[in-house]
Amino acid sequence: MTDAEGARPGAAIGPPERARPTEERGGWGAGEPQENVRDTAHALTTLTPIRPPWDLFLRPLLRVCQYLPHDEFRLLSFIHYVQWIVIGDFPRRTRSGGLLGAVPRRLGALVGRAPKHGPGQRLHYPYILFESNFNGDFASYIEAFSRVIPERMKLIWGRGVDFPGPQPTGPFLRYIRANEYVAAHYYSAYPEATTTMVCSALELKRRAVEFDGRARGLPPSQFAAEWRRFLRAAEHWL
Amino acid sequence: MTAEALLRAVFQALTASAGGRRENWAAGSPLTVLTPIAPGRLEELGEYFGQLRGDERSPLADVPETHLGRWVIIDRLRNPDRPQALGSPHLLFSAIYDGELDGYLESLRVRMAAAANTIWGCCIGYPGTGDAESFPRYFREARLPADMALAAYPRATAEEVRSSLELQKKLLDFAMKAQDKTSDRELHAAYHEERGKLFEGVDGRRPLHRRYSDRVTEPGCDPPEHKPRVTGPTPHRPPRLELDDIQGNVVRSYGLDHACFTFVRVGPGGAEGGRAFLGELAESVPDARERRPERPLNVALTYAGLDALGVSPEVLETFPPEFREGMAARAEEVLKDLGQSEPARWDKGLGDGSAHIMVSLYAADKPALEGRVRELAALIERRGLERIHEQPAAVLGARRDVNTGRDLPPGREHFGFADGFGQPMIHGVHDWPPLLPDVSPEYAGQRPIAAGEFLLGYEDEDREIAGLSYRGAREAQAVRDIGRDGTFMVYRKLQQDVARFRRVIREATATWGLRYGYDEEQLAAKIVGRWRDGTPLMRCPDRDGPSTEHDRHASNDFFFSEDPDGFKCPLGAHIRRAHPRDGIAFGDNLTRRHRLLRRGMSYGDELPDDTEGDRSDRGLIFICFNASVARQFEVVQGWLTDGNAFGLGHDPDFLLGAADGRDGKMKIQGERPFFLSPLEPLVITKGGEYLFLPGLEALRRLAANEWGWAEEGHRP
Repeated sequence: MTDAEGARPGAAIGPPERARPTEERGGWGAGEPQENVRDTAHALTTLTPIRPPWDLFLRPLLRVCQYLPHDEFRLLSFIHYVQWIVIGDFPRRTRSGGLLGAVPRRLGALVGRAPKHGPGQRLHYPYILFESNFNGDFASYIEAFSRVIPERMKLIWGRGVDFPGPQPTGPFLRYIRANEYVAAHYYSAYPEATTTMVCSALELKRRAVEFDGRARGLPPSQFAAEWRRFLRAAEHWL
Repeated sequence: MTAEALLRAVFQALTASAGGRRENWAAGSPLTVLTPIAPGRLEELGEYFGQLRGDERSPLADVPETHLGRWVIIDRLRNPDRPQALGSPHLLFSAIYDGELDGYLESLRVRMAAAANTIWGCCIGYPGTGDAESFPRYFREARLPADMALAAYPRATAEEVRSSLELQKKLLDFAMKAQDKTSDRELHAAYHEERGKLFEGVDGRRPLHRRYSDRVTEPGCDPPEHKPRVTGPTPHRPPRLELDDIQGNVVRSYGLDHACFTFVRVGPGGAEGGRAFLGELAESVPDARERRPERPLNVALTYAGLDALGVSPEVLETFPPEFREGMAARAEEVLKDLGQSEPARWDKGLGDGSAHIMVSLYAADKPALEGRVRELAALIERRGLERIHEQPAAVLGARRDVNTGRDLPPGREHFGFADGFGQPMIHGVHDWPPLLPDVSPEYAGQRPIAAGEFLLGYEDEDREIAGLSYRGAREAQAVRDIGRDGTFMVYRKLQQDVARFRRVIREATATWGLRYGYDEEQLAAKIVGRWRDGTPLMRCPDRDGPSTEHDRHASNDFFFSEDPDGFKCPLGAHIRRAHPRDGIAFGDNLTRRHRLLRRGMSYGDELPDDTEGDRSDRGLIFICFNASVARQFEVVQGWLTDGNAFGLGHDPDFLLGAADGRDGKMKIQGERPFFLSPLEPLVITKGGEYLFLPGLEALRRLAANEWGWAEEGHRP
């Protein structure tokens, strides 16, 4: 197994990366490995160790947080999809979703089943698997996390090994970079569209369909008025 | 957060485990599978993915229920606390899919069989796609349920997303055509003619958003809420700036009307001559204490220049990647200098790696400047160096505008708009804005920006010390010294096609403007975001409002969050993109680290008002200082070339035009919105360089070779 000093995990099978002078740098201007990118869509995959017994709290916490309102997330309008998974074994024993499935592994040997395939391995520390699909620049993305929702970052990664805290942005960026796995292959069904574009297209479609229903059979003058009303209402999404 | 919300969340989490399994959402569910790779098969897997890279078509493209998907090879664990080797490497597969899990797995099995067998065939226990029962079982067993998952559009299937994007494009095309229709009857006929095509493939006409749960997220494209305008920590006390070490013109402009920028090349083996040249100049560069120096000039170096002067490779390594790559290398991907703006067409000496040292001379009048340019040329020759590019520039003089009858103040750019008063204030240099009768209290709260955003060696807005990356470098002290009190300089020659700008405005006004209630001046102001005299539309949306001309504070006393729909100042207006203030999500919290100190000047003769078709070379020498070119200049350039941050898709700034053939329209928001159709670029990049402007001490030491790099045999 490659464990070359300084190389990013996962990069072992990839081509030589673009000039990246040092892990010390914040990541602005460094460019992305092309495997992580499909046009405007970017993949981020990190696996970060956390000190036990924080996982006892973390998993139920995440599962409850799932159902809390996430207004900031809504405004972080460049994220298509993110997920967090806490892993204690490799591969992790299968459990159900919801709070009951979050029973920690030390208590939950009864609940969980041993992996069917492969050796299976108990990890010294639990790990957080974080996956994000976003658009735009990697550094801007991490900056937004760091500046907009620092408390949540602290809550989730607060007990992470070497976690420098969400602010300032520089060290946080380096932490993410150091724990990142470059994708072997990444795919998006609509790579040219950013999250904002998808959301506005969906909203526009809803309004356009409504408009079309209202406008059916109207005489030209009323139709024109209806069209102008539609334009006025939908201009934000057009 | 209310207790009720918390209780409801706990309840939902509990019931989720009983019934509402996340895998059964009808759209956008996560599937994450972690499987061990069989011994010795890692190479094979790596090779397969390597081939995929060259192949545009992803195997997942055959599975239409997939929104997003990735494979990641987990080949080691990183845990500095308790290192642990991985028993076997693992393959992580993660997809966002529509429908039921079983349906999706069946789709994978049938539609992606060959790829699935190649990929998971390298994994332990994989049963192959032959059996419809063992295949899904394998994935279900290796599946990791998400502990928390958030989606921006959880109720849309991939197909709906695709068809909606398509509809949006067609509807926009139609809307642009529709605004040319002069009568209601024509519009009506046109719609019914195209209606079938518009809604082709759009599913069922039912409302899109189905309700499953109250889990997160409606569309994330709502206009930003009105947030507090001034956020974040305020630096404790003003930093003590080493004004005697900072080059003049950085923290305060020289304020002179004429300049000449000379790019110099150090020939092979000419490092000594280059250093001697630098030494002579270094003595005469004014420092930042002098407000009106007698012989103002600046000296800056390119990356190639630092290399040519003998700076050691290890120290060179510590400069940021964008500076090392240079502007031309980043032109296509980052700066979007395409088509007419591509580096192959740049002026000679710019962007081709030949420029090493750049000297900017400033003077109050032309004769004085010419005298100094001659002196410099003589010095260059004496030291055996080569002058490869020279660019004179000047502030455009005052004149009367025939359109408005107003006197235009000096300090405009060629399109006729006042420029040069929108600078950020620097903490420790400028006072907080004064509480004046004609500025709002909110403006007075707009605080100066931390010095580290513009100068290396000082605290920036994140309380980090801005500087080169010296950690781990052997010559850490040298790295610190060479960066100290320096700044990065961006030089860009931007050609402006004034005749075309005027024609475009005139034609757009005749075609649409007048019908929608805009005359030429109003339309031009909508494109830029300010009236020609600098008065912001945000303060004065109608022409008859009070002018803020000559008042630097009043001209900057406005916020975009008051106008989330762009009715006063369009969302895509030039000034709104270049400095969004609090106009993007989270307000100035996300814009404050992307500020620039601009020191630009115009070049070429001004085009008289009544002249047509004169294409002689004129435009703007854009110059800015920042501590990080990638974080500051390049991000701002990104805002200009792509409208996504403002909810405008890929629309570029109207002035930049649709250089890459993508969308290029501009939306003029209002009670009666309309669109300006895409056009040829009005501004063309003719060249540019990323430069480093060192502190005076660093400049002297570099010239005197005090670090002794050249002697140590670093250079062949």
